[in-house]
Amino acid sequence: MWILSIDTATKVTGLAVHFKCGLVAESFLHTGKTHSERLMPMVLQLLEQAGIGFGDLEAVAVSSGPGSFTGLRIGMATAKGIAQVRKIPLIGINTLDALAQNGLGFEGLVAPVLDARKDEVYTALYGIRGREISLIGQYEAVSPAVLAERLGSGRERVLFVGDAVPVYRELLEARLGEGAVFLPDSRSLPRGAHVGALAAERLARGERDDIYTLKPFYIRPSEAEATWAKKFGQGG
Amino acid sequence: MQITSNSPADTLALGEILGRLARPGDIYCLLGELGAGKTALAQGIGRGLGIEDPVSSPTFTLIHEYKGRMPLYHMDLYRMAAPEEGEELGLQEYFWGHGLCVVEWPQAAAELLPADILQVELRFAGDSREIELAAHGSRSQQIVEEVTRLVDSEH
Ligand SMILES: Nc1ncnc2c1ncn2[C@@H]1O[C@H](COP(=O)(O)OP(=O)(O)OP(=O)(O)O)[C@@H](O)[C@H]1O
Ligand SMILES: [Mg+2]
Repeated sequence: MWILSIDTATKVTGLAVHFKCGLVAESFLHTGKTHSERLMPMVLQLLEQAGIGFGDLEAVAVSSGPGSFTGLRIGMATAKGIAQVRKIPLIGINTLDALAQNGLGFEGLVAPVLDARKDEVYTALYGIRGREISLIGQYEAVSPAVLAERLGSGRERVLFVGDAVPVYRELLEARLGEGAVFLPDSRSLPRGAHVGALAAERLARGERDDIYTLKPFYIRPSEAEATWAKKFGQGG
Repeated sequence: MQITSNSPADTLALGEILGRLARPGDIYCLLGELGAGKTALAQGIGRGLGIEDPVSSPTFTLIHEYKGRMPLYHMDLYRMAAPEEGEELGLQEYFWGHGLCVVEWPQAAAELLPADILQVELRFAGDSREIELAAHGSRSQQIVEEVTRLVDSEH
Protein backbone atom coordinates (compact mmCIF):
# COMPACT_ATOMS: atom_id res chain seq x y z
CA MET A 1 0.00 0.00 0.00
CA TRP A 2 1.38 3.40 -1.05
CA ILE A 3 0.93 6.15 1.55
CA LEU A 4 1.68 9.84 1.10
CA SER A 5 2.25 11.79 4.33
CA ILE A 6 2.21 15.55 4.77
CA ASP A 7 3.45 17.57 7.74
CA THR A 8 3.11 21.36 7.58
CA ALA A 9 2.29 21.95 11.25
CA THR A 10 5.46 23.99 11.79
CA LYS A 11 7.83 25.94 9.52
CA VAL A 12 9.12 22.56 8.30
CA THR A 13 7.54 21.08 5.19
CA GLY A 14 7.88 17.33 5.71
CA LEU A 15 6.69 14.75 3.19
CA ALA A 16 7.07 11.00 2.97
CA VAL A 17 6.07 8.11 0.79
CA HIS A 18 5.71 4.69 2.38
CA PHE A 19 5.10 1.36 0.68
CA LYS A 20 3.96 -1.62 2.74
CA CYS A 21 5.03 0.14 5.92
CA GLY A 22 8.54 0.78 4.60
CA LEU A 23 9.89 4.29 3.94
CA VAL A 24 10.52 4.82 0.21
CA ALA A 25 11.04 8.58 -0.15
CA GLU A 26 11.12 11.61 2.06
CA SER A 27 11.50 15.36 1.67
CA PHE A 28 12.29 17.97 4.24
CA LEU A 29 12.48 21.75 3.83
CA HIS A 30 13.13 24.21 6.63
CA THR A 31 13.77 27.40 4.73
CA GLY A 32 11.42 29.78 6.53
CA LYS A 33 9.29 30.23 3.41
CA THR A 34 5.56 29.61 3.52
CA HIS A 35 4.03 26.26 2.67
CA SER A 36 1.29 27.53 0.41
CA GLU A 37 3.29 27.85 -2.80
CA ARG A 38 5.74 25.03 -2.44
CA LEU A 39 3.64 22.21 -1.01
CA MET A 40 1.95 20.91 -4.18
CA PRO A 41 5.11 21.12 -6.35
CA MET A 42 7.01 19.26 -3.61
CA VAL A 43 4.36 16.54 -3.46
CA LEU A 44 4.46 16.09 -7.24
CA GLN A 45 8.23 16.01 -7.26
CA LEU A 46 8.46 13.45 -4.47
CA LEU A 47 5.90 11.14 -6.08
CA GLU A 48 7.76 11.36 -9.37
CA GLN A 49 11.08 10.59 -7.71
CA ALA A 50 9.48 7.66 -5.91
CA GLY A 51 8.38 6.44 -9.34
CA ILE A 52 4.65 6.65 -8.71
CA GLY A 53 1.73 8.93 -9.57
CA PHE A 54 -1.39 10.09 -7.73
CA GLY A 55 -3.19 7.08 -9.17
CA ASP A 56 -0.96 4.72 -7.19
CA LEU A 57 -1.69 6.26 -3.81
CA GLU A 58 -3.85 4.18 -1.50
CA ALA A 59 -3.92 6.49 1.54
CA VAL A 60 -2.93 10.00 2.50
CA ALA A 61 -1.85 11.04 5.99
CA VAL A 62 -1.59 14.49 7.50
CA SER A 63 -0.09 15.96 10.63
CA SER A 64 -3.24 17.37 12.20
CA GLY A 65 -1.93 19.61 14.96
CA PRO A 66 -1.34 21.22 17.31
CA GLY A 67 0.76 23.68 15.34
CA SER A 68 0.61 26.79 13.25
CA PHE A 69 -2.88 27.77 12.21
CA THR A 70 -2.07 28.48 8.58
CA GLY A 71 0.31 25.55 8.23
CA LEU A 72 -2.29 23.10 9.51
CA ARG A 73 -4.93 24.59 7.24
CA ILE A 74 -2.77 24.14 4.14
CA GLY A 75 -1.71 20.59 5.03
CA MET A 76 -5.27 19.57 5.86
CA ALA A 77 -6.74 21.11 2.71
CA THR A 78 -4.12 19.46 0.51
CA ALA A 79 -4.51 16.03 2.11
CA LYS A 80 -8.30 16.23 1.97
CA GLY A 81 -8.18 17.29 -1.66
CA ILE A 82 -6.06 14.29 -2.60
CA ALA A 83 -8.15 11.87 -0.52
CA GLN A 84 -11.35 13.16 -2.05
CA VAL A 85 -10.26 13.15 -5.68
CA ARG A 86 -8.53 9.76 -5.41
CA LYS A 87 -11.27 8.34 -3.14
CA ILE A 88 -8.68 6.94 -0.72
CA PRO A 89 -8.56 6.90 3.10
CA LEU A 90 -7.45 10.01 4.97
CA ILE A 91 -5.55 9.61 8.22
CA GLY A 92 -4.90 12.44 10.71
CA ILE A 93 -1.91 12.04 13.03
CA ASN A 94 -1.38 14.24 16.07
CA THR A 95 1.70 16.38 15.45
CA LEU A 96 3.09 15.77 18.95
CA ASP A 97 2.63 11.99 18.61
CA ALA A 98 4.59 12.09 15.36
CA LEU A 99 7.31 14.22 16.91
CA ALA A 100 7.62 11.89 19.91
CA GLN A 101 8.79 9.25 17.39
CA ASN A 102 11.99 11.28 17.04
CA GLY A 103 12.86 9.95 20.49
CA LEU A 104 12.93 6.27 19.46
CA GLY A 105 16.21 4.78 20.64
CA PHE A 106 16.14 6.84 23.82
CA GLU A 107 14.94 5.27 27.06
CA GLY A 108 12.95 7.49 29.40
CA LEU A 109 10.75 10.52 28.94
CA VAL A 110 10.36 12.55 25.76
CA ALA A 111 8.69 15.94 25.56
CA PRO A 112 8.01 17.29 22.07
CA VAL A 113 7.79 21.09 22.26
CA LEU A 114 6.29 23.15 19.45
CA ASP A 115 6.48 26.93 19.35
CA ALA A 116 2.93 28.18 20.07
CA ARG A 117 3.95 31.88 20.06
CA LYS A 118 2.91 34.13 22.95
CA ASP A 119 5.69 32.53 25.02
CA GLU A 120 3.96 29.16 25.11
CA VAL A 121 4.72 25.71 23.75
CA TYR A 122 2.41 22.92 22.66
CA THR A 123 3.60 19.84 24.43
CA ALA A 124 2.81 16.43 25.86
CA LEU A 125 4.89 13.95 27.80
CA TYR A 126 5.64 10.44 26.53
CA GLY A 127 7.44 7.47 27.98
CA ILE A 128 9.69 5.40 25.71
CA ARG A 129 10.70 1.82 26.40
CA GLY A 130 12.17 -0.12 23.53
CA ARG A 131 9.91 0.41 20.53
CA GLU A 132 6.98 1.37 22.69
CA ILE A 133 5.96 5.00 23.11
CA SER A 134 3.10 5.91 25.38
CA LEU A 135 1.45 9.23 26.06
CA ILE A 136 1.52 10.23 29.72
CA GLY A 137 -1.01 12.92 30.58
CA GLN A 138 -2.44 15.24 27.98
CA TYR A 139 -1.79 17.61 25.09
CA GLU A 140 -1.46 21.17 26.35
CA ALA A 141 -0.27 24.71 25.71
CA VAL A 142 1.96 25.82 28.55
CA SER A 143 4.65 28.38 29.25
CA PRO A 144 8.14 26.85 28.95
CA ALA A 145 9.00 28.13 32.44
CA VAL A 146 6.10 26.20 33.96
CA LEU A 147 7.04 23.12 31.95
CA ALA A 148 10.68 23.32 33.04
CA GLU A 149 9.61 23.70 36.67
CA ARG A 150 7.32 20.70 36.47
CA LEU A 151 9.81 18.42 34.71
CA GLY A 152 12.73 19.71 36.78
CA SER A 153 11.23 18.35 39.97
CA GLY A 154 11.29 14.76 38.66
CA ARG A 155 14.37 12.58 38.65
CA GLU A 156 14.15 11.12 35.18
CA ARG A 157 16.02 12.55 32.22
CA VAL A 158 13.84 14.22 29.61
CA LEU A 159 14.54 14.33 25.89
CA PHE A 160 13.23 17.51 24.25
CA VAL A 161 12.48 17.58 20.52
CA GLY A 162 10.69 20.10 18.31
CA ASP A 163 10.98 23.54 16.80
CA ALA A 164 10.75 25.27 20.19
CA VAL A 165 13.97 23.62 21.43
CA PRO A 166 16.38 26.28 20.08
CA VAL A 167 14.13 29.00 21.54
CA TYR A 168 13.93 27.60 25.07
CA ARG A 169 16.97 25.35 25.35
CA GLU A 170 18.79 27.64 27.80
CA LEU A 171 15.76 27.93 30.03
CA LEU A 172 15.28 24.15 30.08
CA GLU A 173 18.97 23.53 30.78
CA ALA A 174 18.97 26.09 33.57
CA ARG A 175 16.25 24.17 35.39
CA LEU A 176 16.95 20.57 34.42
CA GLY A 177 20.73 20.68 34.02
CA GLU A 178 22.04 17.32 32.80
CA GLY A 179 18.48 16.01 33.02
CA ALA A 180 17.60 17.85 29.79
CA VAL A 181 18.67 15.97 26.67
CA PHE A 182 18.72 17.36 23.13
CA LEU A 183 19.32 16.01 19.63
CA PRO A 184 20.72 17.56 16.46
CA ASP A 185 18.21 19.28 14.14
CA SER A 186 18.09 16.26 11.84
CA ARG A 187 16.46 14.29 14.66
CA SER A 188 14.75 17.11 16.51
CA LEU A 189 12.52 18.64 13.84
CA PRO A 190 9.28 17.13 12.47
CA ARG A 191 9.71 14.48 9.77
CA GLY A 192 7.12 13.33 7.29
CA ALA A 193 8.34 9.76 7.79
CA HIS A 194 7.05 9.68 11.36
CA VAL A 195 3.59 10.78 10.32
CA GLY A 196 3.63 8.00 7.73
CA ALA A 197 4.81 5.37 10.22
CA LEU A 198 1.97 6.15 12.62
CA ALA A 199 -0.53 6.35 9.75
CA ALA A 200 0.52 2.88 8.57
CA GLU A 201 -0.19 1.53 12.07
CA ARG A 202 -3.64 3.10 12.13
CA LEU A 203 -4.45 1.81 8.64
CA ALA A 204 -3.33 -1.68 9.66
CA ARG A 205 -5.87 -1.47 12.49
CA GLY A 206 -8.53 -0.67 9.90
CA GLU A 207 -8.88 2.93 11.03
CA ARG A 208 -9.41 6.02 8.88
CA ASP A 209 -10.74 9.56 9.36
CA ASP A 210 -13.68 11.28 7.76
CA ILE A 211 -12.83 13.82 5.06
CA TYR A 212 -15.67 16.06 6.13
CA THR A 213 -15.25 16.01 9.89
CA LEU A 214 -11.47 15.79 10.39
CA LYS A 215 -10.32 19.21 11.60
CA PRO A 216 -6.98 20.62 12.68
CA PHE A 217 -6.47 20.09 16.39
CA TYR A 218 -5.96 23.34 18.25
CA ILE A 219 -5.27 23.50 21.95
CA ARG A 220 -7.06 26.51 23.28
CA PRO A 221 -9.19 27.22 26.34
CA SER A 222 -12.76 26.76 25.12
CA GLU A 223 -14.64 28.02 28.17
CA ALA A 224 -14.11 31.69 27.32
CA GLU A 225 -15.43 31.13 23.80
CA ALA A 226 -18.66 29.72 25.20
CA THR A 227 -19.20 32.71 27.50
CA TRP A 228 -18.59 35.01 24.56
CA ALA A 229 -21.07 33.15 22.36
CA LYS A 230 -23.73 33.36 25.07
CA LYS A 231 -23.47 37.14 25.27
CA PHE A 232 -22.48 38.17 21.75
CA GLY A 233 -23.54 35.23 19.62
CA GLN A 234 -21.51 33.36 17.03
CA GLY A 235 -17.87 34.14 16.41
CA GLY A 236 -15.00 34.03 18.81
CA MET B 1 -20.47 43.84 6.69
CA GLN B 2 -17.48 41.96 5.33
CA ILE B 3 -14.28 43.25 3.74
CA THR B 4 -11.44 41.33 2.11
CA SER B 5 -7.96 42.45 3.09
CA ASN B 6 -5.29 41.35 0.66
CA SER B 7 -2.31 42.74 2.55
CA PRO B 8 -1.23 44.13 5.91
CA ALA B 9 -1.56 47.57 4.26
CA ASP B 10 -5.27 46.91 3.54
CA THR B 11 -5.82 45.94 7.17
CA LEU B 12 -3.96 49.05 8.31
CA ALA B 13 -6.16 51.22 6.07
CA LEU B 14 -9.35 49.72 7.52
CA GLY B 15 -7.94 50.30 11.00
CA GLU B 16 -7.26 53.90 10.13
CA ILE B 17 -10.92 54.39 9.14
CA LEU B 18 -12.03 52.78 12.41
CA GLY B 19 -9.67 55.07 14.34
CA ARG B 20 -11.03 58.19 12.65
CA LEU B 21 -14.64 57.18 13.39
CA ALA B 22 -14.06 56.41 17.07
CA ARG B 23 -15.72 58.39 19.84
CA PRO B 24 -14.81 58.37 23.54
CA GLY B 25 -16.22 55.28 25.20
CA ASP B 26 -16.26 53.13 22.05
CA ILE B 27 -15.10 49.53 22.32
CA TYR B 28 -13.73 47.50 19.43
CA CYS B 29 -13.38 43.78 20.15
CA LEU B 30 -10.98 42.03 17.77
CA LEU B 31 -11.47 38.30 17.32
CA GLY B 32 -9.43 35.86 15.27
CA GLU B 33 -6.77 33.19 15.52
CA LEU B 34 -3.13 33.79 16.37
CA GLY B 35 -1.59 35.87 13.60
CA ALA B 36 -4.92 36.78 12.03
CA GLY B 37 -3.97 40.46 12.02
CA LYS B 38 -5.61 41.91 15.15
CA THR B 39 -2.52 43.83 16.18
CA ALA B 40 -2.04 44.99 12.58
CA LEU B 41 -5.59 46.38 12.65
CA ALA B 42 -4.95 48.02 16.04
CA GLN B 43 -1.90 49.73 14.54
CA GLY B 44 -4.11 51.28 11.89
CA ILE B 45 -6.62 52.34 14.53
CA GLY B 46 -3.81 54.09 16.41
CA ARG B 47 -2.84 55.90 13.24
CA GLY B 48 -6.47 56.97 12.71
CA LEU B 49 -6.46 58.44 16.20
CA GLY B 50 -3.40 60.49 15.33
CA ILE B 51 -1.07 58.46 17.54
CA GLU B 52 2.50 58.74 16.37
CA ASP B 53 4.13 56.16 18.63
CA PRO B 54 4.08 52.72 17.06
CA VAL B 55 1.33 50.54 18.54
CA SER B 56 2.91 47.27 19.68
CA SER B 57 1.41 44.01 20.91
CA PRO B 58 0.49 44.13 24.61
CA THR B 59 0.80 40.34 24.89
CA PHE B 60 2.73 40.37 28.14
CA THR B 61 1.53 43.58 29.73
CA LEU B 62 -2.15 43.03 28.76
CA ILE B 63 -2.75 46.78 28.36
CA HIS B 64 -0.91 49.56 26.53
CA GLU B 65 -2.09 53.16 26.76
CA TYR B 66 -1.51 55.80 24.08
CA LYS B 67 -2.35 59.49 23.87
CA GLY B 68 -4.08 60.49 20.66
CA ARG B 69 -7.15 62.46 19.69
CA MET B 70 -8.50 60.53 22.68
CA PRO B 71 -6.80 57.91 24.83
CA LEU B 72 -6.33 54.50 23.21
CA TYR B 73 -6.38 51.48 25.50
CA HIS B 74 -5.02 48.56 23.53
CA MET B 75 -5.47 45.21 25.29
CA ASP B 76 -4.58 41.61 24.56
CA LEU B 77 -6.42 39.35 26.99
CA TYR B 78 -5.09 36.06 25.56
CA ARG B 79 -3.49 35.16 28.87
CA MET B 80 -6.39 36.21 30.99
CA ALA B 81 -7.96 33.03 32.31
CA ALA B 82 -11.11 34.28 34.04
CA PRO B 83 -13.27 37.42 34.37
CA GLU B 84 -12.14 37.73 38.01
CA GLU B 85 -8.64 38.41 36.76
CA GLY B 86 -10.02 41.20 34.59
CA GLU B 87 -11.78 42.74 37.56
CA GLU B 88 -8.49 42.70 39.43
CA LEU B 89 -6.87 44.51 36.55
CA GLY B 90 -9.62 47.11 36.69
CA LEU B 91 -10.76 46.46 33.13
CA GLN B 92 -14.19 47.99 33.78
CA GLU B 93 -12.63 51.37 34.38
CA TYR B 94 -11.31 51.21 30.85
CA PHE B 95 -14.50 49.75 29.38
CA TRP B 96 -16.65 52.46 30.94
CA GLY B 97 -14.05 55.22 30.53
CA HIS B 98 -13.55 58.03 28.03
CA GLY B 99 -11.08 56.54 25.63
CA LEU B 100 -11.26 54.00 22.82
CA CYS B 101 -10.77 50.41 23.95
CA VAL B 102 -9.33 48.02 21.37
CA VAL B 103 -9.43 44.51 22.80
CA GLU B 104 -7.67 41.50 21.26
CA TRP B 105 -8.84 38.11 22.59
CA PRO B 106 -11.83 39.66 24.42
CA GLN B 107 -13.54 36.30 25.05
CA ALA B 108 -12.49 35.91 28.67
CA ALA B 109 -13.78 39.41 29.46
CA ALA B 110 -17.24 38.88 27.92
CA GLU B 111 -19.03 39.28 31.23
CA LEU B 112 -17.28 42.56 32.00
CA LEU B 113 -17.97 44.21 28.64
CA PRO B 114 -20.87 46.58 27.96
CA ALA B 115 -23.37 45.18 25.44
CA ASP B 116 -22.86 47.78 22.70
CA ILE B 117 -19.48 46.77 21.31
CA LEU B 118 -18.22 46.66 17.75
CA GLN B 119 -17.14 43.11 16.97
CA VAL B 120 -14.41 42.75 14.37
CA GLU B 121 -13.60 39.22 13.34
CA LEU B 122 -10.55 38.41 11.20
CA ARG B 123 -10.45 35.11 9.34
CA PHE B 124 -7.70 33.51 7.28
CA ALA B 125 -8.65 33.19 3.61
CA GLY B 126 -5.68 31.74 1.77
CA ASP B 127 -2.99 34.40 1.96
CA SER B 128 -5.52 37.16 2.60
CA ARG B 129 -8.03 37.88 5.36
CA GLU B 130 -11.80 38.24 5.56
CA ILE B 131 -12.70 40.94 8.07
CA GLU B 132 -16.25 41.02 9.36
CA LEU B 133 -17.78 43.87 11.34
CA ALA B 134 -20.80 43.13 13.53
CA ALA B 135 -22.76 45.58 15.66
CA HIS B 136 -24.27 44.78 19.05
CA GLY B 137 -26.14 48.04 19.70
CA SER B 138 -27.06 51.41 18.24
CA ARG B 139 -23.64 53.06 18.57
CA SER B 140 -21.78 50.14 17.01
CA GLN B 141 -24.46 49.94 14.30
CA GLN B 142 -23.71 53.57 13.46
CA ILE B 143 -19.99 52.78 13.12
CA VAL B 144 -20.69 49.82 10.82
CA GLU B 145 -22.88 52.04 8.60
CA GLU B 146 -20.24 54.75 8.40
CA VAL B 147 -17.49 52.25 7.57
CA THR B 148 -19.70 50.74 4.86
CA ARG B 149 -20.26 54.18 3.37
CA LEU B 150 -16.56 55.12 3.49
CA VAL B 151 -15.35 51.83 2.06
CA ASP B 152 -17.95 51.95 -0.75
CA SER B 153 -16.99 55.52 -1.68
CA GLU B 154 -13.33 54.50 -1.94
CA HIS B 155 -14.08 51.96 -4.67
N1 LIG C 1 -4.17 40.93 5.00
C1 LIG C 1 -3.44 40.93 6.13
N2 LIG C 1 -3.83 41.66 7.20
C2 LIG C 1 -3.11 41.64 8.36
N3 LIG C 1 -1.98 40.95 8.54
C3 LIG C 1 -1.54 40.20 7.51
C4 LIG C 1 -2.24 40.16 6.28
N4 LIG C 1 -1.58 39.33 5.45
C5 LIG C 1 -0.52 38.89 6.15
N5 LIG C 1 -0.46 39.41 7.38
C6 LIG C 1 0.58 39.12 8.38
O1 LIG C 1 -0.05 38.43 9.45
C7 LIG C 1 0.52 38.78 10.68
C8 LIG C 1 -0.53 39.35 11.61
O2 LIG C 1 0.05 39.47 12.88
P1 LIG C 1 -0.67 40.19 14.08
O3 LIG C 1 0.34 40.31 15.16
O4 LIG C 1 -1.38 41.41 13.65
O5 LIG C 1 -1.76 39.07 14.49
P2 LIG C 1 -2.68 39.01 15.77
O6 LIG C 1 -4.04 38.67 15.27
O7 LIG C 1 -2.53 40.23 16.58
O8 LIG C 1 -2.08 37.75 16.50
P3 LIG C 1 -2.05 37.43 18.08
O9 LIG C 1 -3.30 36.64 18.37
O10 LIG C 1 -0.81 36.57 18.19
O11 LIG C 1 -1.97 38.70 18.86
C9 LIG C 1 1.62 39.81 10.37
O12 LIG C 1 2.84 39.12 10.30
C10 LIG C 1 1.20 40.35 9.02
O13 LIG C 1 2.30 40.81 8.27
MG1 LIG D 1 -1.92 40.60 18.53
